Amino acid sequence: MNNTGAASSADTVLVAESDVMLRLAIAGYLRHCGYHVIEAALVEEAMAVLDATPEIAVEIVFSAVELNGSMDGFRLARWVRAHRSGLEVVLAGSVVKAANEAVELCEEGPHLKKPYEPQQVVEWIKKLRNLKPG
Amino acid sequence: MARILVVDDDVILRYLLAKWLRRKDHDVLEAASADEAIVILSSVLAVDIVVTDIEMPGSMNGMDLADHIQKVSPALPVILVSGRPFVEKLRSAAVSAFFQKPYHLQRLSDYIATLVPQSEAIPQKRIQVSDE
Repeated sequence: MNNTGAASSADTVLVAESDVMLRLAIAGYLRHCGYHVIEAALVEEAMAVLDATPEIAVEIVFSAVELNGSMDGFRLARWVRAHRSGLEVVLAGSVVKAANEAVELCEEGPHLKKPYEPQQVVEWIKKLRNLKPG
Repeated sequence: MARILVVDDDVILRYLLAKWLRRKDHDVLEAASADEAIVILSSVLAVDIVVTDIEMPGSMNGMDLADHIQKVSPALPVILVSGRPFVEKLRSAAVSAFFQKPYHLQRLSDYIATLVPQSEAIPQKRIQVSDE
């Protein structure tokens, strides 16, 4: 990641969002910013993509808290931490849902509150990438 | 360049096709079901070509989606893909082409390229079948 806002060719973001128009918008915005984006409509799709490693290498998971499928975004984040510890996870969701679930997951709540500006997503991803060693 | 709606409930296949088409400079929208496709097609976004899987969960499959498109946007080209072989009943379907999985990405994008220049005025025509 550089400091100009543009992504490097290695930055691949998995966007997990069940609202198709929201997913389309945020994925399109991230592509416009130079990220390589993989879209998942369900938690099972997100896990299938993450299971496709190393053929598909994801660096960042951007997930809605309210996600269709067998688990929500918090559980997906927990699964990622347990099985893909090198990945960063950005969650987006409502404050109420976050308050109920965050304590159970970890000390951190979701990073973004809906509705969010697309630029906020980019800023969070940039921040996470800058924090990552190497 | 065209705006192509790729509809497939297999996230990996959808991703691979979308990635390929983006490399061909197309603007690609992705839908994980026919229901999601309907949402996109009902929006302000203008779609030039639809590539849809046939077997999908949800309230309608790819054939139903093609029928819906034929009713509301008869000029919109629809390409069907399926893991199952071509059957004769598809010949009467309101689609432009059929590709059997695993399809050749280059062949599919080559066919799409033939649709792009005249996609706004494509009449219903004989279905092209590719079962490689």
